[in-house]
Amino acid sequence: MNRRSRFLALTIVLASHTMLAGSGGSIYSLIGIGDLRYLPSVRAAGMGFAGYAFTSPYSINTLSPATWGKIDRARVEASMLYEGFSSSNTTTSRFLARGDVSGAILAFPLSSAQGIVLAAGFTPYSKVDYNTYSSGSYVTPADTLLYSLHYTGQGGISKGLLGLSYAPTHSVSVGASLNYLFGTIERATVMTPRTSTYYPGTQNEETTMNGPTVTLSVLLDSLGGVADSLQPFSFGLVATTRASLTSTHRFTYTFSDQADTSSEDTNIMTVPASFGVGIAYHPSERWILALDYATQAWSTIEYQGKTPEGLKDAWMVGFGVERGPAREAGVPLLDRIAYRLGFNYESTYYNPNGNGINAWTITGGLGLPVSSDARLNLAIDYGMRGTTSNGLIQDKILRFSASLSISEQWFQRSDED
Amino acid sequence: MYNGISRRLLVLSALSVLLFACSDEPTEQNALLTPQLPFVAMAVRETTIVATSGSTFKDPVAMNSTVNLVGRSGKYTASTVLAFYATYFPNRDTVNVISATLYLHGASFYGDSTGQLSFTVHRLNHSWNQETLTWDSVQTDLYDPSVIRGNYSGRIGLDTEEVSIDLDTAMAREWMVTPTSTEYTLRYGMILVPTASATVVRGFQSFENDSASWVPSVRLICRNVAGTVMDTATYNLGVDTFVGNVDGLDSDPKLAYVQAGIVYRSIMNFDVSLLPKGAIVNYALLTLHRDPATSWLNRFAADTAIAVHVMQGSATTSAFEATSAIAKLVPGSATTYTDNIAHAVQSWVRGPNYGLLLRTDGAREFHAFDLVTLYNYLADSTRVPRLKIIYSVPKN
Repeated sequence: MNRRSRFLALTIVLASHTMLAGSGGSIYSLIGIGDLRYLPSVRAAGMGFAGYAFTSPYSINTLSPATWGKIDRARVEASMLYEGFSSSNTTTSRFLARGDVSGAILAFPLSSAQGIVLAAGFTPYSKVDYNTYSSGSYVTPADTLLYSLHYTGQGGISKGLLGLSYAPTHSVSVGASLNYLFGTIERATVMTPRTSTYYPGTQNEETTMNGPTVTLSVLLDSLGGVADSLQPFSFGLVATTRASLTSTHRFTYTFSDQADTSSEDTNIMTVPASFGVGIAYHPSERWILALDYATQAWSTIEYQGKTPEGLKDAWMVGFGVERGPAREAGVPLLDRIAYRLGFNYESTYYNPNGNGINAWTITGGLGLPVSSDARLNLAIDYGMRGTTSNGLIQDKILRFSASLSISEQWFQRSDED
Repeated sequence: MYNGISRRLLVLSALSVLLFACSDEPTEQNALLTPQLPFVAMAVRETTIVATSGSTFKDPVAMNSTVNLVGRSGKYTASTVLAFYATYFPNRDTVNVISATLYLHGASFYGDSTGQLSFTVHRLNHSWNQETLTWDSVQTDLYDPSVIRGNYSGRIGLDTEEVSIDLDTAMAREWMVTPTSTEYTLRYGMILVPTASATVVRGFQSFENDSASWVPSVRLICRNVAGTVMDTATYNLGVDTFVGNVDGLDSDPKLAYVQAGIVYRSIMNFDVSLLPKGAIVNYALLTLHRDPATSWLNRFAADTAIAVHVMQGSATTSAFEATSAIAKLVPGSATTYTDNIAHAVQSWVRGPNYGLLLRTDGAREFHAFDLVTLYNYLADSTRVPRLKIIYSVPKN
């Protein structure tokens, strides 16, 4: 890693560290396990979150291990995410923002000829971050108790993964990863009376979940041998197994000068299997058009023996296009940059009181060469989720994401050897 | 090329931080809520319960306060113990003490204002500690009741009158011997013991008083052996306390006794098991009713209040929280005491529940003979101790 790469890596880390935490996120993250993260990579984020059907030696797709086969040098990719939510109902609006480290993954090629690449890392799976208030009263002839309720939620689930890709033929690449979902979600309700005559209290609910799941994927490209018409196409398929997460749950109570804790109970929470399919079209060496579809049956989730309310099956369609960089020496900088554009539509798993919440997003991105083998990917997304009708809330979401992908040549013989 | 990218990245990072800094802070005013989302509201509930059990116990604690009591009234008895600092007196082995006079300043009284105050003075035989001396300590060989070193008899005058007691000069001379003298060990002070004819209890200012004008003092008039020089000196530094007693106080099972100066304290229990774990106790109003017929309060009691402590154990009556709620008279009532004891009830919901300890509030427990009798759990429904609790639980 050269000095410039180190400097850029440090800049990204420091910038993300400055933005860590924040003023809050979407109120919809109260439901289920929060906002789900479908983020193959920052490159895919610029392309409508499509990424199942194309591969790259400069980017590591965290959702499809079969796409790692072209990585020919040890590579690490770290990313960060900034999200701003302009949320509103029919009378009120506000803007909350937060920053997150969005994961890091290391890929290590074991055999470039056979596309055997080992990768390990962690990525976010879901995010809970809400912060809002309500009020209430209790009035009798003898007492008047007016109070506010402050609701906050924090945490989420992360995914650690360890996987392997293998390309038995020139056209077929398969991959598998063992994933470990883990995380803690805390939900707090603070009751604060408006006069000091009455005492306040806080109820904090903490749920910790962990459990394994497996991802299997297949990538088919360079299919000219099958049919000439298939040559520019590539196909990807990803399936992730259902997860049975061990969930421990307890309440912590805080009063004005005392605290208490409930006993801890353990349950199983099932996360449904997910499926994704993608197709990419390469009209030339520098152009890619990609279309992905993913689905997950969240209506089948079980927790404490029953299906939680407010959830439905989710699906997503993403479309993106990329003009890749020129590889020739001496070309101008603007020609060495990859340009990306995309669109995404998601039928989210949020279904409060039978009101399905959908979202659309327009995306754009850049892939900047940092050195001969390092890439800085930037993506910007803007979209809308929800509606203000039926007393619901609409989120206008702005996201910036960035990742730095750097590589080293490890354990490779030089020509002199 | 790469320097340009570095600069652009720095600019992007700075822009990101700025965008982050432009976000709102969630407040009640910009709160977004919708009835469609499953936020858990709070259900506020109210319940009133009555005391389920209780008891009164005698707890002999050391007084050591700003007023010392001495005298007798009815079944009440009090004796004052005091000593002037031995090192305060000059070493004068051969001096003749012509007179020794003890001066005390009145502070309060209990009983018949026309009654007789009379007591005898006795020299103490061994050391004592004002922070640990109790009625039981005095019953051992602390003094010889047959040897009288002074006496007083009189009536209650002005509240702050000064009374003087002539002391045995031989006892006073013992205070001025050198440390090598065999009599040095005799300077343990004196005890004022009421006589059988005493019919009132008097309170005198103690050495704890802020003003040197009110503390106990002794004036010694001395003359040298040659008889040629006389001198008069007053000494007013020392330690003191009092011990009091009344037996058979808690005779009525329907009453809880809170007696200062001796002391008697009471425990009161409420069953709050109906409150679920995690309930927020917003308010808990304790109501106690005093029996004026059996209480013993006078104008010195003024705003007598009841300290209400959370008991922290059942094995010993001394295990209670240092801080307390203060039950005071309801405005317009002479017999009803109330206070918000939400802290106590919250601790019971968390567990364990050892009840409440009731005692005379503040310093009055250590320098007065106030008696407050409260109706306990056996009283009728109009007077039984009550607890009105307002609490909140999540609505499910």
